[in-house]
Amino acid sequence: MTRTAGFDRLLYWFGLIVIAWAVLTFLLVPISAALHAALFRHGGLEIVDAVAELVSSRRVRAALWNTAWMTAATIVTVTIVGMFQVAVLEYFRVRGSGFLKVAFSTPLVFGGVVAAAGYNFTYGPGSAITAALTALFPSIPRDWFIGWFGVLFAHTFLMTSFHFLFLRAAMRRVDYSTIEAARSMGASELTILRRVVLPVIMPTLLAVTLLTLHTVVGSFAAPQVLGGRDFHMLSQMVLTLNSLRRPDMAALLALLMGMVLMGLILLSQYFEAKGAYTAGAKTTTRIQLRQIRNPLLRTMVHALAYLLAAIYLVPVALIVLFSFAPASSIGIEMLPSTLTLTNYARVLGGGTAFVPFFNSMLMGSAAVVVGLAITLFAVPIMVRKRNWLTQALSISFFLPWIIPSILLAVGLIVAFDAPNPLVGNAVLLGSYWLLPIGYVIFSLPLMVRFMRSAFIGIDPAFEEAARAMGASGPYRFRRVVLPLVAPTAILVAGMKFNTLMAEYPLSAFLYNVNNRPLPIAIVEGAVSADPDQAAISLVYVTLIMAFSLTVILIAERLSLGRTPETSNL
Amino acid sequence: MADNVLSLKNLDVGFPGMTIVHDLNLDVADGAFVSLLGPSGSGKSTVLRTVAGLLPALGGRIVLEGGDITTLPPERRNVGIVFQNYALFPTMTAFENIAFALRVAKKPQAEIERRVHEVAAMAGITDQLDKKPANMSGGQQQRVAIARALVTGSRVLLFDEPLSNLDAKVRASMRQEIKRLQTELGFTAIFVTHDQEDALTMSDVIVVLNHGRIEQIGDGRTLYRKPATPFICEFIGVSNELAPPLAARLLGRDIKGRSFVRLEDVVLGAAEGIPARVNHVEFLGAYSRIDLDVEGHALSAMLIGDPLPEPGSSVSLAVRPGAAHIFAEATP
Repeated sequence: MTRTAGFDRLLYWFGLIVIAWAVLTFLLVPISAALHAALFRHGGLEIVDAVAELVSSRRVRAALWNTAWMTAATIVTVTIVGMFQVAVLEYFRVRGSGFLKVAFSTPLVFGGVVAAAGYNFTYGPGSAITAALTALFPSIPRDWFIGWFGVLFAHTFLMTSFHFLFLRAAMRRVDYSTIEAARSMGASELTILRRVVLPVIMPTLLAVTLLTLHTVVGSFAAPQVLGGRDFHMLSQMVLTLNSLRRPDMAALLALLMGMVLMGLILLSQYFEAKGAYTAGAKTTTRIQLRQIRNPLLRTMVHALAYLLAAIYLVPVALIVLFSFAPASSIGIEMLPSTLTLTNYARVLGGGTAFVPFFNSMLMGSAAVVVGLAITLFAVPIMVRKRNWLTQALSISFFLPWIIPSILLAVGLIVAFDAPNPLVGNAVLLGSYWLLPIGYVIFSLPLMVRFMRSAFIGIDPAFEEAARAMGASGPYRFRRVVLPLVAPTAILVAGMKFNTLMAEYPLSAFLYNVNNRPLPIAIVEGAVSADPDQAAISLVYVTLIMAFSLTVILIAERLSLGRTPETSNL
Repeated sequence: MADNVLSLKNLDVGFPGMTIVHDLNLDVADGAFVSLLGPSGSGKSTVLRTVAGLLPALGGRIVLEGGDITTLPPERRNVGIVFQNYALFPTMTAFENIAFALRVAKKPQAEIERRVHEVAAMAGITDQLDKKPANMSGGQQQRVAIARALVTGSRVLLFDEPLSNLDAKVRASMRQEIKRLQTELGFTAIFVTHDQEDALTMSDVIVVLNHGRIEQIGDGRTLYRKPATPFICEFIGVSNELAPPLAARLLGRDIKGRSFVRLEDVVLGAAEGIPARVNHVEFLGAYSRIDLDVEGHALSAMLIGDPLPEPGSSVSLAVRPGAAHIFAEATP
């Protein structure tokens, strides 16, 4: 063996050992710690007693009931709104469909904690709309939007992104010649929709519905910001139990939720797999938009489509506008009368308002860099070598995908609230780095998934050619392979960084005073009565939306993110 | 005959536990164009990859210019490889692609510049050096791939089915290009293909592989006119296999074994032929294929020019004397 080859081999084993340690310490141990906390008491397995104690709590029962009916209600409303969007954009001829498409796409950049804060700003107790409403109708309380209605409203209009991405794609796959064939055989519009179009898009619709279900069950930011004092859902209850120093109950509740969510993921993948209809025709005809012949119906569809567009665009427009407005105008003016950069100067100027932004930038960047380093090292090995070690690594990397982030968070808390020999007997809970470690673990599934595709897509002949010309393993990787996967790596890093800037569940569990991140600051700003804090929050939200938009536009150009599997990120 | 530049001696190739080609012996003369021809799964690419060092030899020896290279890593074998899709690094310019091996060998920049320009001039791509592969035509990419394989001074180039993904017209022009470069630059080429036309048009020597063994080695004309096995008869060109009773009638004697006759060797309208019925006439441009029924046996003939017989009409046919290929043993 040459000296270079020996060094390569040493590097390879060193990297593998480091990754194995990281996976064991920060993924497998926390998960088993959470399971142990949830299921074991007094040195033995006590599932029934633990569950009985959990459900004996009135607040847990209430949260369970709220989550159940909110899920059912959201599924109905989201499906109606999502199907309507798809029909308006991809099936019927509606004027201004380009504008509508932009409006309906806003949940892609305006979701989670960002949107919850935005809706609270637009319709909440301190909003100008509420001020106008209560002036017109004094009987309306100022917190009319807060509670289950606000949560349902937010869910309904913010969870249509799956429909926008995947159901539209499914509709575009409908072979138009089958519609023409049905029409030539005398089928009515309704029959064509019901018998020809719906069966083709049904598997995707089911998969999308299950993904929505998964999102609603785990909903956290929306009830936290908009639910008020009386409406709580299960994720919040896990956080409450944890803050009440009952990590065992928190872990158990998170575990039960996790089992439901895992079931939903498996079901959605089953339906997604079934959705791969293969048309009989060698070449399919692209669907052509259908004219609505009834003038009354046509007018109604147009009116509803534009009303929906307004619902989507108004909060975004108000947030962006008011982020440039003096804090004193918030909640007073319907539209800002003067514009200023003061709020941006306060956020970006390095003062206290900059701290959450800096923390999220630092932790997000660190998590992305470490996640990318792990991925770039491990994925090529996983792609090339199939053995028990790489299989185990592959399964481990995807675990955070099916395990809810709050279960992982509880596990990290339980595993590192005391000296742990795996990290040199350090106590990581309360340190700066436990949250970014959680971010790394949470980021791995998406990174591994995309980078795996990128590595698999490389023609093996490139490496063989380089090898035949004398290039060593690291040289081949640096000069040939890395430039080929770099666009995907950069994009994935951008997407993940974007997600981490607004990541709420892990942040809510793992942050402390030293690393208070942006999403926590946004929620605090959203529920604060202080207009200065609200103004700062608007700047945070606008900056995140701008970054999200940039990433999505780049992703769109590279045609990434097209299937339901990639949504669950 | 020039000296052998490459010799494969009792070479076994394949994968651990699975020998694909067993006991292969082949001598390649300096400057020759040798094709490894065979159907999918015959082992031709495996042989090439073993010579390149991308797969280890399971047994035997590979000798290049007098030296045993059997166990050397690919980069020390001094053979250039042109891959199926050329494997040009898409993120690098043509210059950087060609310079790659020189940079790996840590050659001085001035030498890299000189050698890349030299080989680019030989391949006629000097004006393409700043372009990336995506901005080049297929022909230009092929020249860059050949230049890249030659730049280190390799005198033996291995081509792994570089024409397999091209349509017929482009393929014809590309093979002319390869042959021209090979003749002008004088390198030895080992060319893997499953296409008999590629092999027949470019090669000095064709090695036909089937199920991991050599069926025949020879130039194209020999393979076509004097096939050594029934497989060659069926694989190179188009032949009729004559059923024994028909063979006896057409050749005038009992045949033990298998007999074949090429389509162009079936003569229609022969004065002393045997009667046949025309089943189908297929006009193919330069020639027509006539499918016949001869006393219950199917037979095809090739006819150049007009007039063509009508389907359903009767003709008399014979086999051109000495044109039948007869194999005593009924090998598969």
